[in-house]
Order: sequence, then C-alpha cells, then structure tokens
Amino acid sequence: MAHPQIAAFARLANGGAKPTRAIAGQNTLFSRTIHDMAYDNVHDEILVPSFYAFAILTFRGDANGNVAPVRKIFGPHTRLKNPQAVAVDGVHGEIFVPQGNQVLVFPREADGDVAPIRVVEGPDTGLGAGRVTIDPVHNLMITAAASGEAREGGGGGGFDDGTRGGGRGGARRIAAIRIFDRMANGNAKPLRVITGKAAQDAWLMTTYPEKGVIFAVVRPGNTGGLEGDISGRYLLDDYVGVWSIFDDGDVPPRFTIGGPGQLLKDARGIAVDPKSKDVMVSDKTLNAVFRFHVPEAF
Amino acid sequence: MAHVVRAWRASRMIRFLVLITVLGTTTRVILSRGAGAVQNGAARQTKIIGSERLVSVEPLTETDGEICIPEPVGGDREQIASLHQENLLSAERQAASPLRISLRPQQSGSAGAAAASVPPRPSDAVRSEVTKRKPISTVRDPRNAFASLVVDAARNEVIFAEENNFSVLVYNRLENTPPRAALSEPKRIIQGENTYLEFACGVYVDPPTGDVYVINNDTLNWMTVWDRNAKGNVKPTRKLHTPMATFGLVADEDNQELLMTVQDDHAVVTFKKNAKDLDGPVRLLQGPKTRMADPHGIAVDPKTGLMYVTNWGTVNERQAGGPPRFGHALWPIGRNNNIPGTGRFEPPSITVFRKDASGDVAPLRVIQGPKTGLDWPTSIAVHPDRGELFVANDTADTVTVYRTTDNGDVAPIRVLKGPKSMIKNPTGVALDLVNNELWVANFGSHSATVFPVDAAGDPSPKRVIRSGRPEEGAPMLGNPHTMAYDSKRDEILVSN
Repeated sequence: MAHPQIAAFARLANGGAKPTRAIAGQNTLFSRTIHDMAYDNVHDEILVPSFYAFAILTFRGDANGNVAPVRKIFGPHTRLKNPQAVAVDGVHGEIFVPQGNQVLVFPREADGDVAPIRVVEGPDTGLGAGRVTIDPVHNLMITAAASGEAREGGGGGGFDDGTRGGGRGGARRIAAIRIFDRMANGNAKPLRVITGKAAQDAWLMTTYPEKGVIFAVVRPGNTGGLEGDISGRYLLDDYVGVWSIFDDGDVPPRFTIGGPGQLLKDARGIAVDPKSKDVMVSDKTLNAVFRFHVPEAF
Repeated sequence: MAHVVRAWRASRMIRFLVLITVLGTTTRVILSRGAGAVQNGAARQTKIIGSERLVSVEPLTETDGEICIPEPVGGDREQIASLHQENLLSAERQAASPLRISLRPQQSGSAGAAAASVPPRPSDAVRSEVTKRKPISTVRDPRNAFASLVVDAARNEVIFAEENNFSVLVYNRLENTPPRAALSEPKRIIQGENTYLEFACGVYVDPPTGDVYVINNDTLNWMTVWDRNAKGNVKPTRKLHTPMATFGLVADEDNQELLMTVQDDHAVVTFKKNAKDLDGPVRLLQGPKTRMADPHGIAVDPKTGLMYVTNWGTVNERQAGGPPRFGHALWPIGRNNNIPGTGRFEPPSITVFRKDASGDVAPLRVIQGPKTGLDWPTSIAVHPDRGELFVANDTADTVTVYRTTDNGDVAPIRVLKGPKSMIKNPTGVALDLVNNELWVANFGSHSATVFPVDAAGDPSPKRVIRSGRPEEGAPMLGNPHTMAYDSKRDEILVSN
C-alpha cells in the first residue's frame, strides 16, 4: 500500500469524488496502513494508532495536509505494543487501546510517556481484544476478538506471526463480542458475551449509544494470513452485523447489511451517522466506500 | 268479578316480566359492545351506565424493562456529548429529558436487567430486506493508480504495479497520452483473482528474459513472477512466499539474488532469484544497529556493490527468540517479539550498506536531516554512471537527487518539483539507463511522467502516460480501512 492517509469525503460524496482534505506526510508520523482511528466529537479530535512507533497520535479535528499531531502517547511506560486499534470516550475523557489479551486505558489528554490508568487483563476477561468501542451512555466497553481465528483462540489482531496457530494473547479463548463495564479494570469479567459465528468473526465496530446498538464488520473465515493458511485468501463474503448491547450468548445479528452473499467482499471500516441513519462501510477488495441507509437499525 | 281481577293481575305480572326482560337484554348489549371494542384492540373506555362505578379490573403489561421513548430529532451524539460535558449523570438526574428515561434502566449491568432490556428482534422479512439493500452511494476511484514502475529498455516497455484495481500494466515506453485524451490504454493487463496481485508496490524486470517480478505490500504475502507476455486473469509462472509488508524490490544480477525491504520487520531479506513457493531467504539484514525504520525503497549499485534503502522513520525494537518463523532461520524476527514501549520516531533517511550485508550491522553511511528534503521517501533508483540517487518523496511532491557518496544532513543536488512537472504524490521512481530518462509514478494524479535524467526545477515532462484526466484528481483510496463519521463537518473519514 503505497500511500497511507486519512481522507475526508463529504458524507454525500459519490463516484470518484475528491476528498475535501487529507492528512498525510512525514509530519503526521503515520507509518503504513492505518487499521483504526477514532473521532472524538466532544473535543473535535482524531486519534490514530501508530503501529510501528507504538504510539497513539491525536490530531485536531480539522487537520489537513502534512501536519503534526497535537499530542502523542508513546514511550516505555505506555506498555503500547503494535497498537492497531483505538477508541475514544470523549464524554468521560478516556482513550482505549486493545492489544491482544489486554485493553489499555489512558486519559484523553495524556501526552508523552504516560502509564495507562487502567489495564483490563487476566483470565476472567476472556480477552483477545483486537478492536474496542465505547458506549458512553450505557457506560460500556465493547471488545471484538478481530483475531482472524473465528472459532478458538481469538487472540486479537490477526497477526502474521508465523510461529503458531493462535493469535496474539497466549491462552486459547473463544472469540466473541465482550461487553464490559466501561470502568472495568484488572481481571474483570465481561457483563455479557455475544457468541455465535457472526460475533466471533466481528472486527471493527462502532456504536449508536443512544439506542444501545452495536455495528460490527463481520469477516467470516478471515485467517489474517496465519501459518497454516499462508495463501492470504479470504472468503470475500463480509457484511455488517448489528446487535443490541443487551444481547447475550449465542445471538445472531439483528440485521446484516451488505451481505452475506451480497455486495461486500472484504469489509474493513465502519461508521454510522445517526441523524441520517446511514451506515458507511469500506471494502478493501472493492477499494470503495459504501453508504447504506438503514433506518431500521437505529 | 273474581275472574276479572285474576285477569288484571295476570296481565300486570306479564308486563312486569316483559319490562325486566327488556332491561336485562339492553344492559347485556351495551356491555358486550364494550367488550368487543377491547377485544378488537380499540382504545379502552369505561362505559358509563348510571352513576360512576368500577366495571372491571385488567392488569397492565409488565414494564420493568426499558421504556421506548421517541427519539427527539436533536438526540444525536452531539446532544449526548453536550449533556456529558456538563456531567451526564447529573443531567440525567435533574433534566426532564427523554434521554434520562432511557438511561435509568440501562445503568445496570446485571443479567436480569439486561434480559429485561433486550429490544425485540426484527422479523425475518425485515431482516432479509435489509440484507439485500443496495448502497445509496459509492465512493470509488475506477482509474488505475500507478504505485511503482520499472523500464524494460530492451523491449521498449514500461511496467507498472497498480493499486486501485490490483493489476500489473504494461505500456509502450514511448506512449504519450495526448493532452485531450482521457487516458492511454495499456497494451497488456495482468489482473484477476488467479494472479495473486493485491496492493502491488514493487516491480522488477529481468533484463535477459523480460520476466516481470511483482511483490504485494499487503494482504497477499507473495511475490509473483510472470512471463513477459502474460496478460489477463492468469496464474503466475511461479510465486514465492514472502514476509508480510514487503515494499521495495530489486535484483542483484551479478549474484542472481532478489532483495526486498520489509516494512513490518524493518529489514531487508534476500532470496535466490529463482526461489519459489516456500523457499526461505538466504540472507537477513535486521536489527537496531541497521538504523532501518519502516524501510520502503531499495536500489543496488552494480558498480560499487552498495545497497541504498529509504526509511520513513517509525521503528520499534524486538528481541530474538522463539521458533523460526515459517520454518526459516533467516526469516525476519516478527512483531510478536516486539518489546512494549520501544517504539520511536526517527527522521526519514537513506541508509547505505554493502549489498551482501547481513545480521544486525551498522550502515556505512546515512543520509538524514532537515537539509535532505526527504518526506516519505518511498522509492529510490541509482544511476551508476552518474553516481546519483533519485528519491521519490510522496508528500513533498518532489524527486530529490543526491550523490551516491553523500553522507549526513546534505541538501539534494537537484530537486524536481512544481506544477509543470506534474509530479504529485510520487511513489515510484525508475531510471532508463539506455535512454537516460527518469520515470516517475504519480500516485496522486493517475500519471507517469518522463524527464531527462539531468532534469531539475519544474520541468515539463518529455512524455506523460495518464490513466485518467488531470483535472479529475485522485482520491488515493488504496486499501481503505478504518472509518469514522465527523459529525461537526458532516464528513466521512477514511484511512488507507
């Protein structure tokens, strides 16, 4: 992938539309593919994990061009290691970074070499966490394994380790969407665990907190290129799954969007606009961004 | 007389019985109408019959779960955010907002409360309809995006690694898109699921045979090799399993070896040129002494035997140990061996090594510093006879030229930049040593531009190959990944 960037498009953009702005360049401290970001609409900031520099970068919401982050969390006290996902709770002022068998929590305004204020980890957590999203209304932290291993061993992250079958995180655990109290700390048990095949295959997520809705990209059979399946070929039958934060156990999605068996092939990112009741999805293989109107899900 | 009295009494009794019967029937009819209305789902009403009285008692539906309150139009994230800025919980207790009603039962994380709060599931028909629903808009760049290129001077062709459509494109070397034309069609296209091409960033052509070597940067960890006449959705002649996130590719023809940069592992791996399938590397250059950091471009000078690597600057440390990855001792130490908290940012650089450098060795020289003008140095080419290095700087929209002997914080000896040059987000640079031409792949403008090798400043290109109209611009969506919705500006944020 030759050119990493964060591009902004008008919500109603269509076709080969040009971005209204793009953040890219040496000053941004980006490295390669940006696997996650978060927009804090309370403080109008964009957060980006730096996979190689083990950092969380914060940009102004209106950042444009080759600009430097206004803050960066990095250094030996951070415990950051290949962060590829981030979530922000602008309401309560906290940053969440999932990395395998743990979730690190930092103050939103942290800058420099700062230790996390909470770390969710331990056997009772059930983590693997590859992705995380926050529901500040219901005070929930929601994790997805995003492991590339749909059934057992949701280590988190889909890392191409090449030394073993399991993802990062050690113990073999069931991949799932896990719903924790937002303030969970240490070896905390999730309040609820959504299992079932679709929940096991969930990757990037977002929420509509006002109604307690979880939107997750579901990538069936995505191996993440782990050893034993180095072909890198995926099923290319992805979709968006919609759950309630009150779902628990072996629960299929309430809605599926864009598939299975429909348009989406290799879905990656997801965002929602509750006002227009639109769900936006990016697809790597189709190299496109789609906007679906799904009022039923909001 | 007695007979008359008995008849009158009997008649009065009959009238009384008839009156009682009529009253009873009327009452039943009225009551039954009310019951029917309830059964039919109409609004329940108390039928007033005479003075007010209790007619019946019916229990209400259990409502100890979440109460659905119609969402106000303004009940979006901004409203929630503003509420929370003033302390959401305080607002929840004090404000007469519909939001607080829906909040109260949701504060509990207990299983019981959750079970009671589970909203009803949609019907199968609704679910099916939503699943099949088409998008209402699609942002996609259908044009080919040139990520990298190589010139086959012997056969008068130029070959592009192309990202938007996962392809390899071959043009005549002298192709020149007319100004009014929308684009130039390639003479051959390799594309399709059989090709194992995805996010190809590096391309090399074998001088004797014209075989084309291509590496993918993401998702498919394979290098593919093609007969020079290959086209369509065909399988490669052979393919080689590579580390994740290879970027630059070059061959050392003297030693018949292939050298690749590996972004993820901050390494250079070397394979035999004829390696295939699961063959392992023959050499590995990796470690903190190398000062490689997110390496991208790579070039080998056959005259001096030196290797040049461009680095973007982000890096981390890892410790050796554990079983060999993919069974190969010389496979780079992987990210799982990274040491938490060791990430750092370095300025961009060009690190110089002997081409056979291996292990964790220091570079012979490093070109690095503010004078260099390096800005996401993505691709590099060496001109052995001129003793010059050409570097494509993606976000500076420049090609900077250095002496192969430069060291430290040195300014380039020439810079190509400017609107006439049409250099826009260059991610590939190549040299035609036969015709002394400099080629630039412009990821940001659907074009490749050709210059004399000694060009400087803001020159007009000798030739331009375009895959789209200049005025169209390029959204540069490539491997679109995460997204967010910027509610302040009504924008969709998309990362590559």
